[in-house]
Formats: sequence, C-alpha cells, structure tokens
Amino acid sequence: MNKHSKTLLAALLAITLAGCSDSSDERPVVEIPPEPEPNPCDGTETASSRLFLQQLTDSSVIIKWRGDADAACIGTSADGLATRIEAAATEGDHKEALVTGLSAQTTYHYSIGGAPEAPAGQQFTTAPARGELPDAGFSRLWIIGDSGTGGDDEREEYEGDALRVLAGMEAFVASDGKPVDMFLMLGDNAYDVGSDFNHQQAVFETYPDLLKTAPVWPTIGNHEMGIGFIFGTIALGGLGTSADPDSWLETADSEPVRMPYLDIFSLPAQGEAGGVPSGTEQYYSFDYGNVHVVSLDSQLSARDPEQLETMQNWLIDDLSSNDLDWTVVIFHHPPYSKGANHDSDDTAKLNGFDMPQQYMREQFVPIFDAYGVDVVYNGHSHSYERSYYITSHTGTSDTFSFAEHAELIDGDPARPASGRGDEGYAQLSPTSGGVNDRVVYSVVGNSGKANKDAGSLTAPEVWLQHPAHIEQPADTLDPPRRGLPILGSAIIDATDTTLVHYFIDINGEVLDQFTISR
Amino acid sequence: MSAGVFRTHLLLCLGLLLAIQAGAHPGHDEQLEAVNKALATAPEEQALYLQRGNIHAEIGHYSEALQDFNRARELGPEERVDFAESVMHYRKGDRATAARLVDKHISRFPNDPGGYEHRALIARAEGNHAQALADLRTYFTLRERPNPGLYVSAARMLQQDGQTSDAIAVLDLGLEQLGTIPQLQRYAIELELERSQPEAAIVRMQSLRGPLKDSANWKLDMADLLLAAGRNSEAATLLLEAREQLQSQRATPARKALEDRAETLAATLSP
Repeated sequence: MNKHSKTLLAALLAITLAGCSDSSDERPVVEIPPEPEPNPCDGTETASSRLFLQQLTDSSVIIKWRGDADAACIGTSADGLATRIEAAATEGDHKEALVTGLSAQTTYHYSIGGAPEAPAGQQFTTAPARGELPDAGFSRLWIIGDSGTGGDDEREEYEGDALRVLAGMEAFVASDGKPVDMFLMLGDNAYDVGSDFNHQQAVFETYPDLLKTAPVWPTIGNHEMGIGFIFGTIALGGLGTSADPDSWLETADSEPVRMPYLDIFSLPAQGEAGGVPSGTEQYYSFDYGNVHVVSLDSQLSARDPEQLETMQNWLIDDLSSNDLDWTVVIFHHPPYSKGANHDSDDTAKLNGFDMPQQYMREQFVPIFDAYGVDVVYNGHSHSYERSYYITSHTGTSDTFSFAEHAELIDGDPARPASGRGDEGYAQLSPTSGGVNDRVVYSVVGNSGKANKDAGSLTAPEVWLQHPAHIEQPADTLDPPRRGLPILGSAIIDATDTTLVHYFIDINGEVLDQFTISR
Repeated sequence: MSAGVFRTHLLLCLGLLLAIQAGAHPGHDEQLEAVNKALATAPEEQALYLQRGNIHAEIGHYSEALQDFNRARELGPEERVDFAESVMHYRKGDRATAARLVDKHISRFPNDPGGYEHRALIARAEGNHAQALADLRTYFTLRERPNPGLYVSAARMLQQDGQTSDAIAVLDLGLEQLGTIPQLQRYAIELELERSQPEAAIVRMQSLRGPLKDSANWKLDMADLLLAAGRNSEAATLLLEAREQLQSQRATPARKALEDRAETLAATLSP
C-alpha cells in the first residue's frame, strides 16, 4: 500500500468513525450488540400428580397443578417457550400460574417447572373474543354427569365405565376433528364422598389428557359433600343435607374444613371469566365466545332459604347482564326426572336429600323461562332423559300438559315438537308469540354409571316415564321409554345461528339430538 | 381431642358402613341395618352409636336417638356427643337443651365454626338476635369465604330489630370479604333508601355498573334512584340508553317487563 493509499484509507476511516460518534463527543465509539437476555425458561419439566386448566378466557388462563414445580412456561411454539410465570401456592396443596395478556383464539404450549419445551399434549387454545365464534365456526362443549366412578369407592361395580364414556366422546370428535373447547361436570364428579383422593382417581387420573388441553367447569353434586355432617351430625355418603360447605372433614388433625371441591377447583367468584361476580365459588358464570354458562349450587345453597334467595338474586342479575347468543345452565339436581331413586315428584323422602329437585323446579325454572336460558343440564339420576322445549312447568309431573307447557307443531296440542329433524326449535318460540321463554332440560347423570332398574325409591312403572321428557326411539323397549338407561354423555355445538345437542353413547353414536335456531 | 380428630374417628367407622352399603342412596332402614351390622362386630364403638342416634334423630325417633347418645356418652369421651345431641334437640324443638349442649361444644372446641353457625340458628329461632349475630360474626372471622347468604341473614335480623345502620355494616363487611357482589350491594341499597340516604344508594349502585356490565336492568335501577333523588336529567339519559339497548336484544319475558318499566319511567319523566 503506497502513501496515498494509506492517506485515503485513514481519511475514510476517520469519516466512518465520525459518523458513528456522538456529536457532543468527538471520540469514536463502537456499538457492541447487547448480550441476548437469558431465557427465563431454562429448567426441566417437572412431574405433577394433577395438571389442569381453569378459568380459560380470551386473554387468560390458570394452569393448576399439584407437584414440586413453582413455575410454568408458555409460548406459541412448543419448542420455544420463553415466558415464565411464577406460581402461587394455593389451598389443597396446589400451585396456580395465572397467565394473562394472551391473544384470543390462539394456541399456546406450556411446561411445568420452567422447561423451554412443552411436552406433547400440554397446550390449549384461548377462547374467542366475547361474542365471537371460534375459528371452527362453532363452540363445542362436552357435558358429563355423575362421572366420578373411576376411583376405588365404585371401581368394583363400575370398572371402566367413565373411561368408556370418555372413549365415546373421543370417537364422536374424531369424526370431524373438532376437539371439545371445554367440559362441564354436572356433579357427583368423585364418588363416594368427594374427597381429595376421590377427585384424584375419578377426575385427574380418569381424564388426564383432556384436562391439560380443555378447561373443566364443575358443579356440586350430593357426593361432593362428604359424609354429610349437618352442623356436626353424620350421614352416609351422598346423603348430606347441610348448607355449610365447611362441614367437610379434610385431614386427621384438623377442624372440619371446606369441602375439597372448593380447594381443588378455582372458580370465578369475582366474575374473572365474564360472568357477574357471585362472591362464592359454589355458583358462578362465565362466557366462552358467544355462549354464556351458569353453574348453580343445588346441593348446598339450595337447602337454606336465605342462601337460596341470595343465589336467585345473583342469577337474575347475571342473566340480566348477559346478551350472548346462547345460555347454558348446569346444576346437579334435575327439576324433572323419573330416574332410579330420584323421582322429582317424591323429593321429601328419607331426610329430604332430594328436596333441591323441587326447590330448583319451583324457584328457578321461572327465572330460566323469563331470562332467556336455552338449555339446562343436570345429573343425579343415572340415565339419560331430556325434555321437550318447555315453559312454565313448576309442578309435579301430573300437572304437565303439551298444550300448556310444550312447544307445539302448528299450535296443535297433540303434537309437541321433538326438536329433531324438521321439528327443530326456534329460540324465539312461535308458540309463545316470538319470545325466548322456553328451555330444554336434559339429565345426563349416566357418564360413570347407568342404572339398570328403578331402584328402591322409584316405582318401576314410572321409571323413565316423566311426561315432560320425550320418548327415546333408541330405547330397547316397545313402546320406547322417555329415557335411556345406558352410559353416555352430551355434546353441544353452538354456532351463531344454531345450538345442536347430541346425546352420544360409549361408541360415539348419536342416540338423540335436538336443534335450537336463532 | 380436637373436633377434627374426633370426626376422623367417626369417619373411620363410617368407612366400615360405606363398605357395607350396597346402594348409593340408601334409605334410613338400610342405614340402620348397616349400622346394626357394624355394631354386631364392634359393640363398643362409640361412633356407631352416634351414627345410629343421628339416623334416629333424622326420622324423628327421638327416644331411640337419645338412648344411643346416652350409650355413646357411657362409652366416652363425652364431648363427642354434645354437638350431635344438640342438633337432635334442635330438631325436636327443645331449643333450650340444644343451646346448652352446643354451648358445651363451643367451650371445648372454640375454633369449630360449625358450632357457632348452629348456635346462631338456635338463637335466631329463639328471637335472640344479639346472640345469633354475635355467633355469625365469629363464624365470619373463622371462615375465609362464607356464603353470601349468611351476610344477608345477619343483616335481615338487624333490619328486623330496627338496626339499619348495623345491617348495612354487616353487608359492608361481606362486601369487603367477598368483593363487590350484587346480592349484598343491592340489599345495602334497599337499606340506604330505608334510612333516607338516596345519594348513598346511588353511590352503591354506581359500584355495580361494571359488575353488571352496564346492563339495561342496571340502567333502569339507577334511573329509578336518580329520579328519586331529583336528578331527572341523568335519569332521562340512562332511560334513553336502556331503551335503545333493549331494542337491540332478543325478546325475553324479563326484557319485555323492562320495556314496560322503561315506558312507565318515561311517562314519569315527561313534563
């Protein structure tokens, strides 16, 4: 390199460095790229004995587990998790990671313990924005009742029944590839007494894969209320009539504590998922896209007049504040049922443990009619029953009439509409003059056991013969009964114009369906 | 022995019964049969006599129940029996004995919330609101998240006694403990109006605007309060908004009733 070349190079270098320097400081500065932030998700996947999703909305979710891990990591790519959420230790030896700031209709993967990769099957999709539809064009709800037979307490008699029902759902969804967006549990989720161990076996070890991908929304059944202390007295499992959720015994060295259900599930008492705050996890509501779901407490709150009235007042406010396309209500005790041992006409029997059936019929059905509820789901009776599209029926079964209570074809009182095929229901009922005042009630208490006879408390000749319920052509008897004594579950597919209900058996076959259009 | 340990012992005995139990919902006859079978193999087990006593009490067989409770006392420890027997006497209508026994229970197990709730019920039935309220207040402190209906119950007793301000204070305690929930706030609004505090009622109603999602129902309720406070212009604005909102929503009987109510309110506001 000659002298001129060196001079030119020096000049160019000076110009270049000058361009990089601060105008107030003539000294040349060379920018050094910052060190990349270390990924906070640098741990390893940690085993948990239960892992499930709670309160999934369009922007948040609670990832809940039991185990040693103190954090979860989340991301939109399974092998690139980079957002770490520290978990809070919560009641019942659980950990909860509240994840916020999520995008609607987006699939996220997650790990437990801080790993940067999500194991297969640990992902969820956030809800659509309020009022919107999922990308698939419809929301899919899976509904199971009295499913809690998967544990030791009922294993001998009902071995594998809950899993068979799960397999039926999986066969159904495999036909179109659309997974369920959530599942609703109608009570008696964990026989026999709803203990933590009962839940471990009957819920967490029965549906482990589904619980990692879809949020579960439960309601309280009689078998969630332990041995049934009534202000300290004792009854057998499922016979409790206490209104006090704190009358459940949890551990050997403690005072009576809250029922385990309330520690296991984290439910939106403060309206965290779109409903009106109820102040209690015993009853609550939430929104999912264009569907509003209400879970009522027919086991405890319904047994005390003032607690019942307080729940009614909340329900009225909640439904008054709801303008979504569809409203689904769940609770355990069916207002209408001729199930084995649970006859809605004979609720005062024994110690009145079935009285909530009557209370809910007399005191909540008018609210459902008036405030635009579309469908109600209950368990308790271990069979499938579902009603016509009815209104204003608050009496016993002998007071039911098609003319007064059922949706009719062309106004003919001899022809109640079935909801099937071309007898589908309109949300704005023509029979009622274009008003949304009718409800279909379904009993789906057969997702873990199915009664084979009427039992000791229901007369055999009335078993599965409630006149508000529709005859089931799939029944094996002729004429068919108004119910099916077999295992199964329900699916709701809700678009912006139709709500379709399917009752499916353990093979995923549809044995009953109805459609409500809007 | 704590109440918890005591009940655990009962639970262990009940495990035996549950194993015997054939159906999910046996009747009392079946329950009694199960207990009797268990007693045949464990005739000295106190918990089984308590169990049978409770079953008898539930079906009104009080002399048999008392016999079993007495046997349970003989087998001891005696404090296990007080609460169960108190409940039996309460059902029987003998509230004095029920109260005496639950007093004993509470003195032995002062941190058992169930005892206070039960004693509150007895006291309320006796018309002893002061005792009932004191027990409910204790219950509220022992429980993290009581059912909202219990606050309503406490406030109602105070209202019946003419203690409106205290009733509101109980509801505010519930609102503090449970969050801004309509069941308690609406009752407080009712009481504010009862003590002629419409502006306080309006402030409370305003707090529900978010939780009730600015619904037409909320707007009309608020319009009513504003109208009662002479704030007609604000009431008219809300009324207009409520009517527009209702027109865009599908018809339900409740919404039709709101439309009628809006029409009446509009007539009131018209000059």
